[in-house]
Amino acid sequence: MTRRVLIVDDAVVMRMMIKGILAKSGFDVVGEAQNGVEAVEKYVELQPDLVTMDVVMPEMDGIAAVKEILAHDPSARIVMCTSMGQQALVVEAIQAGARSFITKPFQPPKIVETLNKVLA
Amino acid sequence: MSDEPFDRAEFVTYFRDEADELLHRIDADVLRLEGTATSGSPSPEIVNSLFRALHTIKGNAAMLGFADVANLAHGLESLCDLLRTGKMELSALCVELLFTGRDYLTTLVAKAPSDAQPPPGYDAFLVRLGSIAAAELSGAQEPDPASGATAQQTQQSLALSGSGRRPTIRVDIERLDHLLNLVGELVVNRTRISDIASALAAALGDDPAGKTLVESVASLARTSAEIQEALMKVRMVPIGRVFERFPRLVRDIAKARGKEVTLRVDGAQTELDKTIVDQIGEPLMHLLRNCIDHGIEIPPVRESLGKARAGTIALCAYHAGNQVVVEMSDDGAGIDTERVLAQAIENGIVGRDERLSDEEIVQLIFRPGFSTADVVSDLSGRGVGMDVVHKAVGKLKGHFSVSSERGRGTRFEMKLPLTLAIIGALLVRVGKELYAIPLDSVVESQRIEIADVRTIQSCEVVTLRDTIVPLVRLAEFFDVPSPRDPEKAMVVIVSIASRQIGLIVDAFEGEQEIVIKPLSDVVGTVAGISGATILGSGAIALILDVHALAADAYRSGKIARVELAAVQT
Repeated sequence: MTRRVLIVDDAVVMRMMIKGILAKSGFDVVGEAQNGVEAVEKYVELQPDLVTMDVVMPEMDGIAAVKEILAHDPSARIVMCTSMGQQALVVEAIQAGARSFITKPFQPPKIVETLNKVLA
Repeated sequence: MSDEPFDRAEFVTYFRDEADELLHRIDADVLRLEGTATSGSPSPEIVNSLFRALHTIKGNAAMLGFADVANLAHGLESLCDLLRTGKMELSALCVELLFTGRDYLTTLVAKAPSDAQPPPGYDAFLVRLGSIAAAELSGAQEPDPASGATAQQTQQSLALSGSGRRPTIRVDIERLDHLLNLVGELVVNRTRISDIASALAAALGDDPAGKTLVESVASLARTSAEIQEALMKVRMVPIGRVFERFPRLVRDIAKARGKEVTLRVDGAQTELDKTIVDQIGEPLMHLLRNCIDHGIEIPPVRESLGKARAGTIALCAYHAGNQVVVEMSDDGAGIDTERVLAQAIENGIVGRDERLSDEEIVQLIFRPGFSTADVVSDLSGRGVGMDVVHKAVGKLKGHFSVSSERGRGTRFEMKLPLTLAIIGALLVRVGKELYAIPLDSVVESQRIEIADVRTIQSCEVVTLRDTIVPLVRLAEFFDVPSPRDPEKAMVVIVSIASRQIGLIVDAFEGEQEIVIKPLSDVVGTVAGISGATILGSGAIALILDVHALAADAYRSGKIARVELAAVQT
């Protein structure tokens, strides 16, 4: 069964890189969003199995987006992608209902491993 | 990291593109911050935008292993964080740090991914940045209970700012260029097939197949015209991309020269072909530098003249027909025509007893050879490499002009084509040769009687609607054998700046869209010719560069100086 993923990040390069890694590891990237508002819209539209969520984004940040998505679908699986120095935000995101997190810069095997664990 | 399942190199270009955009945004944000520096508390909206831009650069750089970029972006981001959580006041020092940091970032991004040493001073700057941030923090060690509230406000302002963008895709420009070339061939063949279809249909007489053929070819022609137009639109980008870096440039140069300058930008959303936008940055930067260096006076001088302390440079872009006009004007000293003329005579560009109007003198600054280094430094007008700008605009098939008023300021105007690749042209025949005259410079074409042609200064002119129009015989200009018709002549009237000249040809061959192919370096530059095109019939037509042609004709005396003639007669 292919696992359908929605990638949320405001950086084009980051989306491309994550997409590249996931595509080569058997995930099906079904959509991309560049801010929280888009993330919520795309989630509702695509109903992906998994979301990778950046934290710092314009319009609506990742944590607010996690809350909105979970309000819509309490079983949503969301993995936060954070940069160094944002531990406080990670805690907030996990409290809000994110399943796990990875810290940029991540090693490709690490993200695949984390996503697999969350989907298991 | 050789076991990566993704190819780092593949992303470097994208990384740089995105970083460039973000660096421009950072520039704009820091400039806006500087504007509010006196009030002490920066607008959360600006600081957040700045923070996000730095954050994105940091994340991307870290992923690609550009440690220097990531470290610096991280340091600057921390500074912004202090600002947005109110742990640090916005000071002049802070703005300076952000600007300097941004410059290092630009250098580093341009260098990535080379493993070369970071630029000199980088390490020291990083240490300084870190220590300043640490000092600020130690002053406010307590976890700030207010920071939660600030974050809340931050989020609100984030949610309010900006609107949804439509999804976009980045495409390598080379692919578009290739596509454009293919469409160019399509356009050429479209005309050719239409010709063949019409001929066949005529030969077939009443056979309905002929009519069907013509109809389907017409439909094909329509579709290819639409493809061409759509592709042109894809290549259009707002000229504002170039303008973005100017506020910072103006600030820096003005500061270095002890001048005060306000830059007003208008029409940044005006769209042009990407190739043109990419190549117009340098010339514009040159002009800006000139306006500040030589145009705008220092504040005390301005005040003594009753002008505002700060000079104003207005940069604006707008569409005019199928051209885009970019204007740059300043309210500075204007061009000192006496000194320009004196210098031009000294350099041997102008003869001692030549009589020139003020307008003509101003044009001298475009002449190569005018702007030698020591002319510039002591000339209170302009001159620095104006010929370079003139040439650059000419290369883009544009037209560059200047007007100036002593004490009031100078105005430069660039007229640029929307696109470089395909133009409408009037085809004319001279002897056995075909020439294409770009339609945007054609005013009209008509037949004149040789009896109406008069001679002034041994050059031919004709009076059309009360205007004296100097004539150029293309056959003589290009040295093409062609017998003169003793009774009548076919003339194409073209406009050059505010003047008109008439080009005498043998026959008009109709209007057509042509694909411009540059002449190869082997041929070199030919005066009055800007390129060549292949016609539907397979024949080759040379494309006239009417501005260069007129300039050459004026210089060599093949054309009457009507302004002077009008005064003398």
